[in-house]
Amino acid sequence: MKTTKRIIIGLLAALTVLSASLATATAANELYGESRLSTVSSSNEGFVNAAGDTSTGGVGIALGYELGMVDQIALRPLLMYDVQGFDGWRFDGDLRTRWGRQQLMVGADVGYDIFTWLRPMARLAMGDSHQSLTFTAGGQDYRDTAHGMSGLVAGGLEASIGRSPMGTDPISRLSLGANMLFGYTFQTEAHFDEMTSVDAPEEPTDEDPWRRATYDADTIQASGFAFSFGVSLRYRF
Amino acid sequence: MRVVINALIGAVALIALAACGGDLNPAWDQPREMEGPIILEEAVVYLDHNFEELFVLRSHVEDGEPRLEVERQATGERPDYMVASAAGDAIYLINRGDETLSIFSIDDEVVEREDVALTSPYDRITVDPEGEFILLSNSGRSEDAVLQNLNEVGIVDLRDGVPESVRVLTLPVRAQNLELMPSFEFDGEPQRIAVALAPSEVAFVDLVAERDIDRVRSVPLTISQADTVRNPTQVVFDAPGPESSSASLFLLDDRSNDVTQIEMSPALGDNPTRKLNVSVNQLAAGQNPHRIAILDLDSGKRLLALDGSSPEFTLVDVASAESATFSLPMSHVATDMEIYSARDPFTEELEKRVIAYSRFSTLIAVIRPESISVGSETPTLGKTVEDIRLDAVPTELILDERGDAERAVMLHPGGQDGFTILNLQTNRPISLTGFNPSQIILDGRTAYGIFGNTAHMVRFDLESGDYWTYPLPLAGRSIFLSPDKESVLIRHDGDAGRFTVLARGSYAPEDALFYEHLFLDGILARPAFEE
Repeated sequence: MKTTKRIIIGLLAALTVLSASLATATAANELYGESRLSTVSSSNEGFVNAAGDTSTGGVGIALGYELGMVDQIALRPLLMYDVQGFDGWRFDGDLRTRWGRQQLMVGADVGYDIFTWLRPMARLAMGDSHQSLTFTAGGQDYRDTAHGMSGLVAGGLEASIGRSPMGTDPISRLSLGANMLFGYTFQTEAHFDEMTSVDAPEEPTDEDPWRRATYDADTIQASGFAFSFGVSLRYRF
Repeated sequence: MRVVINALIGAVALIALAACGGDLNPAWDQPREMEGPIILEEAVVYLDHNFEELFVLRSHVEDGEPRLEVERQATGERPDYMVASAAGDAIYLINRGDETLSIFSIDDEVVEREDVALTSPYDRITVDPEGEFILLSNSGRSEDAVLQNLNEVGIVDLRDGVPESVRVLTLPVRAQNLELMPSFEFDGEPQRIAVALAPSEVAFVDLVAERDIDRVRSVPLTISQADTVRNPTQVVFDAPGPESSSASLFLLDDRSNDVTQIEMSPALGDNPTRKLNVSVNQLAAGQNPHRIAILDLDSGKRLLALDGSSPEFTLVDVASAESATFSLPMSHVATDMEIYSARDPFTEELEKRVIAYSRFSTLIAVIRPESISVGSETPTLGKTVEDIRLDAVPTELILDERGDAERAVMLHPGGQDGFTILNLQTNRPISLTGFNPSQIILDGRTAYGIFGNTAHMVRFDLESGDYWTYPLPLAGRSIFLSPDKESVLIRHDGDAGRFTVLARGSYAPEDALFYEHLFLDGILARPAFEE
């Protein structure tokens, strides 16, 4: 867990330096929007045990603003929001496991334009994550949540369609794109040590006077290889 | 969209699997199989077959709050068969995978495991009441053993600690059942004898014999093997006192109308050919004895036999073989009996008594064998044999075996017949009607019970019959009292582990703690990949 935190803090430092070095570069400004499908694959025991698999999928969006180019190198700060999760059955259906993760990260793409439509790029991001784990057994739901930090280091390709010299009409300012990224997602360990009944009232009532014991389900660390496929829309002004 | 996600997941999963390089643990895909509970003195134990672990549960009260502690301990590979030691301080477990016997010593704080290497795929454990030996044998019903030697017995000698391996002995008979006699002494030498009950034959295994020739001794129950096979159905032991020079066992079988007495005594002489002399006698014990017990009375040893054809019992003087048969004041043949000691309400003297009952008769009988002289006239009804009329037929008699029983509880079958408290001094019943308890535990003059078909617990006073009922979140299946008697643990149905813990004296729902997923505690830390 400490190692993951160190890596995420390192990523943040790298982002800061990169942003500062390119902050002065200005050319045509560009707004960037992206939606993507993503997967993460982990060999962490807690993750595999809960999921019943070594990987799971999710969706995400990103909003960015391209600062410009210096010698075809472009920097695009991003605000990213990702949701991932799984719904698994263990013990031949005796136990249902539901896990979800929401990540809100800031990051940046750094790319190098080849021709006018192809951009090899790297993406760095880090931010906050919120995870929840729900166990259902014997008809009873127990849940716990955990806060942590997430990070992403990835590299890939971005291709654009309809990127022509900017005219005055709005259509010529728009371009469509697609990207594929492969990398590694870092995640601090989540300890689900207070699995709590979902259905029982917080305080005993006349109808349900029983105090339920909480329990420790142990940990999930959803770090692992990440892959995403995104489509994007860019608007120059 | 789903196709794209699946393709992405597949691609990344391949990379991840290549990175971690293992198959997923199949234990996660099989139904959760928790075997238990086994009740020990200090804990309640379950065996987790999926992850090959022992779950040791201990309930206690901490700062007035009831708590349940879970300790897990790895077993060997493929744990299969588990029993508790007679003293309730250990678990004996056969691991089929690595062919070991694990001995878990369990006290109020620590669980320790020691393994004994086995040489055969045993699937039966015989427990020594004195904890000195463990006997292992083959049932012949194993589904996965390639071969089993049904005459083989594995002997684990615990007298000098847990040995590294088992001592193997092949008997001349195939034991249907193995039993250990209580320890006794001949000429100051401790003796330990195991008895193998086989069709038409009994084999004695001398566990402390020094010479090979003395280790096994076979005694036929028929003159010839061609005779009708006689299968032993019950054996009782008469361990000798310090002055006695012989030990006996008494045997019932499914054919004979006599009781077979097999007597052992030390062989005389300086260099005897065999260590023990064995003699066989047939004792007449009524028309059709089907349950027997040995009573050590002031007037001598007596064999008491319940008759299987009519409501009668027979007392046999073991020394003289004289016997006398008496009627039981019951409407049906007595099927079960319990022996206890009770104080005579008038003389204040402690005496042995026998309660005989049948699942088909509301009349039960209390026999006072001390007052019966064998060979004389029929005892007067009401003095030597008393009857108690219950409101419903009995199923199980519960009495405190640790102390002098003054009260007992009789359970009744199904329905709403409640239960009956018996005053064993005066032979008077107190009936409590209502739901039928499925289990009752005794704690001095207080008893606790649970019901199979209502979510309640009952606590009652054995002296007065005063009772209190308390709600539970679900109907109980088993009830245990912690060793310090400060907490009550109740097990409910549910594969995920449902339990309620109550602190003694605080039985209200808001003071109880209800566990619904106990067996999921720490579940994600189990191995994810095959090792």
